[in-house]
Amino acid sequence: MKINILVNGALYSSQASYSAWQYCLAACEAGHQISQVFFHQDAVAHGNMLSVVMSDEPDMVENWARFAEHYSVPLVICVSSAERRGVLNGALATEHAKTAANLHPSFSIAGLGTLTDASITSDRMVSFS
Amino acid sequence: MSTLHTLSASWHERVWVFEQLCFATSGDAILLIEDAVLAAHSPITLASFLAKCESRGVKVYVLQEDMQVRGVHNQYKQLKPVPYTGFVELTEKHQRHVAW
Amino acid sequence: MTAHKLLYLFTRGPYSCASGNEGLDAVLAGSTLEQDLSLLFIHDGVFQLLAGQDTADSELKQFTRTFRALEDFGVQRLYVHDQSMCSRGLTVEQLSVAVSELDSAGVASLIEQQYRVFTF
Repeated sequence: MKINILVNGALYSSQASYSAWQYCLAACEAGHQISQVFFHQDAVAHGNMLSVVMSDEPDMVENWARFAEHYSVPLVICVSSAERRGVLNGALATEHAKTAANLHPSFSIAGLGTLTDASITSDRMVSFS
Repeated sequence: MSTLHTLSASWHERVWVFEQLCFATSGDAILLIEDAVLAAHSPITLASFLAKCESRGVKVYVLQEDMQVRGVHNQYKQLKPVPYTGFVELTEKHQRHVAW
Repeated sequence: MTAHKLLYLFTRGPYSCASGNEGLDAVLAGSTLEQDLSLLFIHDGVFQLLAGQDTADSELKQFTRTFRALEDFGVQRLYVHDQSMCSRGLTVEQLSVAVSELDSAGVASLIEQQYRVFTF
């Protein structure tokens, strides 16, 4: 089964990311395919490569990056939510005349059409807010 | 097509969702995750909700790991604990998911 | 491609958090892909549609105007939960757009008709 994942909950302040990650690991181990993980609203902070966690806390950005690499899953950050919260790739930084970009290399930035499209073409959509 | 409803907020914070889900369609399933599992600890909070769900043919589950990390002990025999693999199985069985 | 039924749930009031505004972004994205969209306003979400919102003296953006423009994007199915309205002392005449009222059983059956449901 192809499953599209939507994460809305904030990085660190919400359990949504952890719940979604655990769900994705269990789904992949059961033989399912995650078509993409789409990060919307406060969840776009996952794409910020500058977050630093305490050594005894889970690093959800790296957890997602490792998961994505192992199972070849695209991690997609919503462009409009990301711009508002300061998560930019090189092209966006140039476009908006910002001096730095901070998008984690394991993530990409796309519009909400990508979410709608994947939610329709996948067999399931599972959301975490 | 049936629906899997997940609830992630505490009963005390989002009682309106529990009230709405008393109208869930027969064959639907409800899974309590994150702070929604807190209600399982009290033998009173969920009693009438679970009775209504049972009478409508709606099964209610609770995520084991989220209870365990919170020290919550399930007080209800109608509330079935499932691990994450059970969450995945519920999404296999129900084509639609609503995250409340 | 056949149009799929997509439902967008609005559960929170406007301004205190961005979920209404970013939910609308998702609705507009769905409309450009020519899907069959419905919006349901439930709990404090019904306040998104209250007429008389006045941001003239505020820096806040009145994004809720976009709900009134949705018809231009081919989105015509707007629903409110009657009990959420009633318990907040609201009537449909006080809203800025034309909506249909659904009771709790109606909400359950609306969800049952959908292919995908997005919650904001």
